Amino acid sequence: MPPPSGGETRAHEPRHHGTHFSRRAVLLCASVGALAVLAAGFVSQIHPSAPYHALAGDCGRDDLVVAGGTDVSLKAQRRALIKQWNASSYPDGRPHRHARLVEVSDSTDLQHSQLAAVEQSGGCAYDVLIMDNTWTAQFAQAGYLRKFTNLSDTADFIPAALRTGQWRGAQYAVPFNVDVGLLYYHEGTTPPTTWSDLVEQGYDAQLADYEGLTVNVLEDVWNDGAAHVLTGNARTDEKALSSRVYPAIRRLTARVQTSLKTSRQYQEQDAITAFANGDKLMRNWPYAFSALATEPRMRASGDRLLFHVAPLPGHTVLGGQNLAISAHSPSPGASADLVRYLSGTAAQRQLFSCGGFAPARYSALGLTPAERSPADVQARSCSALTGRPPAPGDPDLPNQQQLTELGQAVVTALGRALPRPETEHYPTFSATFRECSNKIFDGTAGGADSFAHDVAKALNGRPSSC
Amino acid sequence: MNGPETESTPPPGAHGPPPPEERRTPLRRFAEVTAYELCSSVLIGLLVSAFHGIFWLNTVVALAVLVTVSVLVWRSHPERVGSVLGGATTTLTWAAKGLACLLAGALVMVIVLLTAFGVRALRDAAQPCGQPLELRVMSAPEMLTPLRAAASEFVADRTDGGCRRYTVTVVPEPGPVALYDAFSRLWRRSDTGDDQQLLGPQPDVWIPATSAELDFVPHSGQADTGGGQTGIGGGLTGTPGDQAGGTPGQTGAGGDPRFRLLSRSLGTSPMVLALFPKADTAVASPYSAPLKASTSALLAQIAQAGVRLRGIARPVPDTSSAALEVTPALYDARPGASPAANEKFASPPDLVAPDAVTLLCRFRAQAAQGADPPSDVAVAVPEQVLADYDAGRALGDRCGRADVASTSSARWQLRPYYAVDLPTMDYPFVQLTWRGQDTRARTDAIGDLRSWLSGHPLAEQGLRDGNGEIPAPPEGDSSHFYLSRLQGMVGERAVPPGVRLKGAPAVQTALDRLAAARPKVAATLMLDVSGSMDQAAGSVPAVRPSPAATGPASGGTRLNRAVTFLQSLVEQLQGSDRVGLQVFSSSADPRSPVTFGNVQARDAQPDQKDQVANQLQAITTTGGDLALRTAISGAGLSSGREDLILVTDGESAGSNPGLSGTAAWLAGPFRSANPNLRLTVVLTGPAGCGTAHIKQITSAMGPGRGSCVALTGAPEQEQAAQFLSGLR
Repeated sequence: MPPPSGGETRAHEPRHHGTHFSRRAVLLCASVGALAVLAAGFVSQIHPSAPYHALAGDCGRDDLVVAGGTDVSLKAQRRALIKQWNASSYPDGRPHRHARLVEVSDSTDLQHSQLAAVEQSGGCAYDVLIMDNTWTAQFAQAGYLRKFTNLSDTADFIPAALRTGQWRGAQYAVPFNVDVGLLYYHEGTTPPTTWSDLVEQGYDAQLADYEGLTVNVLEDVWNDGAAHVLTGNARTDEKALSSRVYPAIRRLTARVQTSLKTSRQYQEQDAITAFANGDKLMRNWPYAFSALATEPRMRASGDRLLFHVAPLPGHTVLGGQNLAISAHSPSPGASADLVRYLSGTAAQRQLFSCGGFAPARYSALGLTPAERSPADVQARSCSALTGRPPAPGDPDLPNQQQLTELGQAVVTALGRALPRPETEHYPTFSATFRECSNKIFDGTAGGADSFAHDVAKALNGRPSSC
Repeated sequence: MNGPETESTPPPGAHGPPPPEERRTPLRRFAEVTAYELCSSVLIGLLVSAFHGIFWLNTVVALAVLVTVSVLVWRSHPERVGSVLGGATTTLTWAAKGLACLLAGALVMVIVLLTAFGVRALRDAAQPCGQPLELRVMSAPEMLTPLRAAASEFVADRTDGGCRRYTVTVVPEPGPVALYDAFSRLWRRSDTGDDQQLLGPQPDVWIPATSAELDFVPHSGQADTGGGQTGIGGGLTGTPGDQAGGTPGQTGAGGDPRFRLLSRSLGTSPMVLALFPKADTAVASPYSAPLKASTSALLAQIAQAGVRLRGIARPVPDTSSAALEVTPALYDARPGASPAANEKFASPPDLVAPDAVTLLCRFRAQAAQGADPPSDVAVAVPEQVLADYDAGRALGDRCGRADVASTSSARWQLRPYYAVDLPTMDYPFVQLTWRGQDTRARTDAIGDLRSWLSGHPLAEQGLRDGNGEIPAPPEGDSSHFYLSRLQGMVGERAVPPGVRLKGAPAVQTALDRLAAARPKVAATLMLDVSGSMDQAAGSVPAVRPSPAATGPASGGTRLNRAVTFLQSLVEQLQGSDRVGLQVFSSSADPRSPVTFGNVQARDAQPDQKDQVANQLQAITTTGGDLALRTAISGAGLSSGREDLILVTDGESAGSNPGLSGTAAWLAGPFRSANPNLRLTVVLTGPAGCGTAHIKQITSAMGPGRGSCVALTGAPEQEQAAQFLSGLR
């Protein structure tokens, strides 16, 4: 606007009429223009779009929903635990909130797909999530999980297992069961004592193109010059990937083409079958023990087994499953109570003795944080624990001695176990790492630098194909 | 520049005091100009209202008025006109400068904002990626390979700074009958109150094989049509090609999930009959049209070539939509034969498979073992999966890639034959919305996938276009699997470039014809729930349905294996079948109606199947072994044709004393009392069918009436399909 004027213009006063345009006017106009653009930008950002009428979920339900994979534990122990929770009550006599187990699929990938989709949508369908321990970072970072703020008795948990439920210093999940790689060997076979001997002799590994490939290759890499690379929350630099990890996979390639050749077709169950068919050595998780113990070909007379189990001669992956509370749970308090119940000593002991799952608590193996030597492991058979003897004519397998042997192997292996990389993009990392490993095995991969660059990118969520 | 003055401002005193006109403020001059303009406008308005119909006349009149008024004013008040013109010039100059400053300010702000956004984008690019949105897609098993390949490209295309915006998980559908039940039961396979089993992830997108399949399933959650054209799903929202499908978020008043048709077809693929090379060599003729007028004519051509087909290997119709849709055409191709004979012809007992990929993978496994391909069967599968098979691609979750260059693969290559009356798969694209999982972001992502598939049609993965034509592949594109590859492998003439689209029949019609053609099953299921069923089933050859990550994935207990097998079996029964369940152990009386787990036999309608599945899910072991003779004698049998299916771990011989007496009882009084009964012992392991006392029991029933089946680690759906086929 032109500035007002009136009366005589003084000699040294700027003219305020005609085409005179003062600096103040220039600034004023320029400011108006700038503010108009800023306002337009602001409005465009906050301009409300058409309302979205979503199908709302039923958040007013009374029961607790535990979502996870298909219960494949022996004797369906997870379902049994849920039933026990429903049938029991709090110490003050209040009944427990009724709980329901929702089994999505027996495939971990499909479990992840369903749980991630529901949580991304802010759905309140699930209260407690049974998650693979590599999902903690992703789910916590994305805000799908509620923090545990007053978790008691944490000292009884195996520390490494408890850490798999942490993200950036906070506890988001509690261990349900742990997994460590174990070495199964036939009676009469001397198990190798070094990793190089193991690889040299050949064993039933799991090198098919699924998560097991990541696990098995990481174990080899850690035991072949790249210990403490690609583990935990320590960021891996490209130099370590190219100078330590890549050469280790290259060295493994020679074995993959010879002593480990058949393992490229194996997942866990395939390896169990091959071992039962006569292969001398097998790497597998603790649950394989119970599966093999009831296999007629693996049993001698009575309840004597024709195989043994030992820790792997080196580092192993720390696997397992955790329990977490959904951020959208309508009943977080009761859910926390249920998580405490499911991760308590009694439940863990039952899962170990009757279900074949390795526990995450010292007390479930008769140990304490102070006395946790493998030699101190005390296990009880399922029949002794539950008071239900086996059916007439059936041996009590695995018996107390066999479970103790398994527990000792687990505790020893836990001392050497390392977690997989803690990243909110673990699925991307694992897929890239597998593809790169396969290409190295097949001789179609790029060089070490390309491998290092692609794996480092994948750790940040940027997929690549080596 | 001199202080605050501008160049347009003369120095004070250079021209003496300004004239009176110049002393008038710009506001006054502006008012004067406006007054003249207003007068002119009023006058013009009055005049043009008389000539409003003629545009050029309006313009002329307006100009004339302006000129006249200006001349009159100039002549009468020349000094005033000069003053007004001067004022107008001054005002316009001022306005131009103001506008320039305004634009300059705006430009500076635009630059500032762009810089800020650029910096933020650079900072974001350096940050770890956010979480991609998870999309769950379900389709027929034979579509997994093309859809996964397309989804992989979609995910790679839709990245921000190298970060994925989406992840897409593609899962196989279980077949039309199981889908019907699943959509009726909120995607639950079973529900015991304490435990629910889902059929897998709840899909966001469903790509059924045919529109008929979409029509068949219950649409309890139909979206409002919103005035859109009624879709083929009997009232689904959306119109063909309407990718946005109207207003996102239209709310359905119905149940879960809400269906929304976003595309009628992503491409087409006709069903074909395929022959292995030996038969093909005899049948193929350069003078014969590749597209026959009817399947009947095609079978006649095969017969005339001297190839005697013992059957057409068609997947199980209850678990494969494609197989179900082709069934009426196969029946019609042999008009002289009875429905039962037609069904037998379409179900060679050694080639029973739940879906096309399982069937084709079995061929690959036989090829790898060096076996010879059969020359007396044709294979009925969609053209697209046949192309994948011949190209050596992975086939869904069932088997990986094959080396097509190997001799064995060449011997097992399949060559397609076409007939006009064979149905065409049309693969509609349907959005499913589940309560509590419905967000704008998810809906937008689904729309984005649909939009991407428009630009990257599934013709790149072996489908035909919506008109049944084979599109020409882009020059030099060797990364995709256009149908031209199949033409290159089996001969251009063997694969017609265009096929006439033949819609699939209504699913219920196909099911009715199927039910009329094959014997009904009346199954009494007896399940051993003794404590020994809690033991591990033992290791068996395993075929994994999908990649599993770490963690327990064993075959579980004997009871688990039995329950999953029986649940799959029940899922595949049709309403005209009959089913009941009894459990037995030393403390579970199979006769007692109060024994937990017992379900009286009734027609296998959805509620009955639901009840049996739920009871199976809730069953736990109790007590010890009950002698198999006692269990069998407790079976609730009717007088008609019936199958007694005894599922057990085999028990021990010690639990079954007096076996010779049991065998005599079975062969004598029991057989006589139940002349139409067949007994099948299904073993969960570790005992096998060779176990002495099991062999004795089945043998006692006589040939054709006593049999034994040992469960394996193969997918339970496949085992159940084979078992059911054997019963029929």
